[in-house]
Amino acid sequence: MTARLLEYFEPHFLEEALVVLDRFDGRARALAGGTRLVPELHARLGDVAALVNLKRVADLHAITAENGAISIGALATAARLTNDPAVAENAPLLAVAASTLGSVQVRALATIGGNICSGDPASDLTAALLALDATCCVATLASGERRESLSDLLVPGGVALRTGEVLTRVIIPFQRSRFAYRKMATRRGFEMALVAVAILLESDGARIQRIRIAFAGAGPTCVRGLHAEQRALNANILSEDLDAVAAAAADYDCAPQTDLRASALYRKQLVRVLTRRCLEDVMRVRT
Amino acid sequence: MQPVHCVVNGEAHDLLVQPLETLLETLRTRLQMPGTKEGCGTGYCGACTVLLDGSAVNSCLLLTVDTDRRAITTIEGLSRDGVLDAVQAAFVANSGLQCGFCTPGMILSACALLAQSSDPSEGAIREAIAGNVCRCTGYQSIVASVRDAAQRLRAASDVRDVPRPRPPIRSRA
Amino acid sequence: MTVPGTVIGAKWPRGDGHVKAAGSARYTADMMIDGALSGVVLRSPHAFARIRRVDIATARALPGVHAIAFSGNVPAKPLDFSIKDQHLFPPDYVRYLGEPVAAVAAETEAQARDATAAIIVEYEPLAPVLTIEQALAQDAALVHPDWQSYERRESSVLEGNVCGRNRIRRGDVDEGLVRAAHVVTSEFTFSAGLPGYIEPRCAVAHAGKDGTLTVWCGSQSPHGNRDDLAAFFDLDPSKVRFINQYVGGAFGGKILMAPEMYAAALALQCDRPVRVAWSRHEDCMHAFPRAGGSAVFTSGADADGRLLAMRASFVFDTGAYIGYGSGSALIATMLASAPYRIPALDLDGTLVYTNKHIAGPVRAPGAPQANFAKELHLDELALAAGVDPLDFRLINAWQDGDLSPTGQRLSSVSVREALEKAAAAIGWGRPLPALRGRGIAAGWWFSACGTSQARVRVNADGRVRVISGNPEMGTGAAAQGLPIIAADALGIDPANIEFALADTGDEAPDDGAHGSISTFSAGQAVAAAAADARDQLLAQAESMLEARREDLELRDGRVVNAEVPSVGASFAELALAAGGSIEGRGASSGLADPEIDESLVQGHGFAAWPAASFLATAAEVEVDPEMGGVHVVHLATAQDVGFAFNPAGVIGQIEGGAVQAMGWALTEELKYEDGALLNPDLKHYLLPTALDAPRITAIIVERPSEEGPRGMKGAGEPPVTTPAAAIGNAIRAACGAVPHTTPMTPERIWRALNPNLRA
Ligand SMILES: Cc1cc2nc3c(=O)[nH]c(=O)nc-3n(C[C@@H](O)[C@@H](O)[C@H](O)COP(=O)(O)OP(=O)(O)OC[C@H]3O[C@@H](n4cnc5c(N)ncnc54)[C@H](O)[C@@H]3O)c2cc1C
Ligand code: FES
Ligand code: FES
Repeated sequence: MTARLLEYFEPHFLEEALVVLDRFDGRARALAGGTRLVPELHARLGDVAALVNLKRVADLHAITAENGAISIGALATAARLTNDPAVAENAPLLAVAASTLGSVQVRALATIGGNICSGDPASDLTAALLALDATCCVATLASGERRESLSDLLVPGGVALRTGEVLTRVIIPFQRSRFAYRKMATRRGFEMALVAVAILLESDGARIQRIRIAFAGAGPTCVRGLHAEQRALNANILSEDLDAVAAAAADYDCAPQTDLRASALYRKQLVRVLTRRCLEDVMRVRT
Repeated sequence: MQPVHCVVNGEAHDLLVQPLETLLETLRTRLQMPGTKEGCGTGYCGACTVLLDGSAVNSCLLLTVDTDRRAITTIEGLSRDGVLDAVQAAFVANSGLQCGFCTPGMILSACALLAQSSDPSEGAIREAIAGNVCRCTGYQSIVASVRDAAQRLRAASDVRDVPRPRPPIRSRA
Repeated sequence: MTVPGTVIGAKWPRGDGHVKAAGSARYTADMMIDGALSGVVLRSPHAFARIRRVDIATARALPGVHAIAFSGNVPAKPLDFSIKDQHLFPPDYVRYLGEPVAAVAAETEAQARDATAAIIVEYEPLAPVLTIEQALAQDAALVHPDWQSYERRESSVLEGNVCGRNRIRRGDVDEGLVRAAHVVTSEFTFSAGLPGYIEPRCAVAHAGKDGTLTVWCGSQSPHGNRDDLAAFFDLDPSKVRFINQYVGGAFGGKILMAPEMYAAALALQCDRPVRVAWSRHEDCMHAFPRAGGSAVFTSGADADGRLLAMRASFVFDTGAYIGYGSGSALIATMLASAPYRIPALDLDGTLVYTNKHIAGPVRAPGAPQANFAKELHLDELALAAGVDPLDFRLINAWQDGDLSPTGQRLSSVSVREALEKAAAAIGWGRPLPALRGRGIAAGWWFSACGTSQARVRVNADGRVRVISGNPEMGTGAAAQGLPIIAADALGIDPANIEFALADTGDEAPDDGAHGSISTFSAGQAVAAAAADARDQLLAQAESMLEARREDLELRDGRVVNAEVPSVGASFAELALAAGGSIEGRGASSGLADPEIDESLVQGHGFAAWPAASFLATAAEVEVDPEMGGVHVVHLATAQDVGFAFNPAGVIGQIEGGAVQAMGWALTEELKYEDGALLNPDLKHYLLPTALDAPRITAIIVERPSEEGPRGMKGAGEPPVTTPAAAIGNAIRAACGAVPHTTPMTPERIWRALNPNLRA
């Protein structure tokens, strides 16, 4: 395998990175963990003239928890998410989702920013972040930082980042609700999800008060389960038919595609089953 | 070309590399250490596994520029003067290898696990090597090898009760 | 103390364990060859097209380019297979997407790739034949429009898209089915699958000025490949040398030459070594997969579950060319009814061409497919008859003296023992939690013995070296089995024996590592060579110690006086006295085909199975019926190897084979769309991981054969033949349904449970 010649930058500051990305006007790529980008570049996919390695920008590595929210730098790796104490305490759903990503070796490299920005609808971290109501901070050369909810950032086949923009961190309000994450694939591990479901839930006694559901592999992007959430709200989780919530998820929230891995029909079934099982998981950990 | 200063198996290297050069290429061709194998080049077999500051990573996914100021351990760095280390010896003793192509990566994944956990369960072992595909053995003998390696390491630390000394860092001209 | 006869049968570490664990074992791609050029193959972008024109002029003039091989400058003759349907580079039609049309050698890989892109090939795309149905349709387009002009061996069959047909018939099937209390019909389809070795193929070739050609590679058959390559390029075989490196798994996928041929074609056009190293993608694009296919079975049993008649029909897809693909259909009919007594049989196998990859002799070709269909079908019959699947098999199992489907009288039959041991290992009959199920499957196999020569040399330093042309693929047959056999004859620890990687320059020709053959043929040759060496050592000791032969014995690397062991001479001293070394020579003695009833077979060149072996696999699985997921909890294979020279090696084959078979059963599938392979990678071609692999119990059964050395039977391929079937039956036992299509993916299992869903 021969490395192509291309321009390469290792900026220490975000502004530098933005300047370079801007200068190449769409022909420069940000490099995070490289688990997706490196094979793509070696397969000569895309028209890439420059590579901007973000690793020396210190802020992008930071994980901090304050004022009721946890901020995770875009370069935090999946491995770090699985064992960072602040994540474990304030967003344990993310830690669990991260532990299902790829292999030990991939988790050591793959970053949360790369997971979002690769725009793969089967991304584990992105699905968990959607359920966690994450906000993304995007740095732009022209206007500094903009904040956007993750669900707005996700567009079919990718993310709504403009040329030269960098995702710097995600902010998650503390989530100490009960949660569940389930993922189904053809193999028992080391594979992207056919479908994965993330659920966060708070209840007052048996009544569901807050719920957020998100799916991977169930549409052209990771998607929220708004209908299912609606159906679940104020439902009695002890007596109410959980199948109705699961059916709402499969029938109204998801538009899965048929591809070489699975049919749309089967994916809908996975959404239904995994959603119901996640709800059951959450109930099982009730105190 | 990009300057990179890294330490491979205790030996410091100052390299000038192409930005898109992977650590796998650097090890195999530039440093002439072909013990690290390429089975897929895309992260999906684990034959290229090395340790980066002690963590198992796919060297086919890692650009060499990302190893600047970091320490790498390859299969060549485990044995000393031709004597296999405990993990390697356990693989030989328990038929944990057949064709041997997955073996360097498999052993390094086992090393990363055993550095974290001195008596891992079977489930933890299988989880730790899930990114290392082996077509020959069916994994059972590999799991047995890792268990035996854990036992050997525990026995050795009982005797000495000191961590294995890290090799000194030598500089290469 | 080690004396002759005490080594075989014990567990010994592998001769190559140390170098492999140390990372110092060298595979072909690890070789650093000064001045090697990079060779890159240009592949067809069409599944089927007429080639109008190939123009290499522009490409040849590009910087760094040293040679371009294409149909215009390599020998025009076809490759030597049973049907001469294939050229190194096709002159007229490309017949699968990925078929090589040219190859370039250049200073760098980038230059070589640029040059392949600059080769002008004008294609006229044609409508490809992609499925068995299309191939067999009345008005089917022909994959080989000129088939009638092909030269071929007399035993071959060729008729349009049909390139193989065989039939085994015995008794009156219709009559048997009429008499039967229970009759069941079942249909199956099988996916094509990769051999799945982890080392992609690589070869380096160098043409010397003296007319020699050296090829470094990892071949399963270096001597056979050497002869074929020499014949194709019109070279004197004695001037062509194949030097094997360590091989990172093969499983039948490295028998047919591939990079070796392209590296040689290029090397013969320039004066530098040429290295052709395939990426995983290219390796998949040039794979010789396990054949896909289909089968229909109808069988009947009486009210007690005794089998009366079976009709089975297989069709396999060999892809664009015959290659070594004919085995699948031949083996399938031999397995279709076995190892069970069925008075009336009508079994046929057909092989067809399609515009896809050339099927290869992947570990036990045709066998996982045939056993999957047969054993699932028989469970359906057992279910209909209301007989427990294990009992059903025990009732019908072959016994000593029974006849094979082709009329061969069977001896040392261990089917019942294998079934009972495998079943017991997984607790057959004991209660199970819901959604768990057990399944069982049995099979039989043959032993093959090729020609092999070996030398065992005792050097003046006392070291012993085994020289055999048998290549080490990873099974340990050469690195572990052969040293054990030599050590046993010489009475020394196998660790004191060096083994050699196959090198045709060593002049120890061998038929190669395929067909479960290695220990059989090379093992016999080494045993004979070691016995010869032992005789020479004794003869030397007789004169040196002035003792009589009958008073001497071998012990721990010395020849000693049996009465006074302190009196003796070391191997080193004896070798020195004999002029520096003692070398024993040996050859395999071959294996006679058993007699069969020729009147029962048509078009079947593989109907006599010497030193037949038997096995059974039992599986326990857990099914998630809502999502179709399967967790294989336990696989137990009881395999009759006649006599286990190297038990550790046999266990390794059983364990590895179980998980390979499980992969084909559950997750592995080559997926095509319009003739394009959609998953030429390990991302979407899903090999089992450590998380998927079950607990495995390997049970060695030893029922000595009459024919094999010490009663041995071939051992390498059988373990892969029965687990898929056992898993399928366990899935049905767990949840009440099973897909009749491999791989039995979660989606297919879910659909099998919900048959009324739309596609
Ligand atoms: C073997 C293997 C197994 C995998 N398994 C899983 C799995 O189970 N689940 C799963 O979800 N994923 C899986 N993946 C996909 C995995 O690559 C991504 O999920 C990973 O998180 C990407 O992160 P990265 O840091 O490696 O991204 P990179 O490869 O560095 O970048 C990916 C893309 O995002 C862009 N980008 C990265 N960071 C930023 C940023 N901060 N701002 C703007 N753009 C940016 C890059 O330019 C590039 O286009 C797997 C990958 C491999 C190789
Ligand atoms: S070569 Fe790196 S994972 Fe396969
Ligand atoms: S030993 Fe061959 S791939 Fe693991």
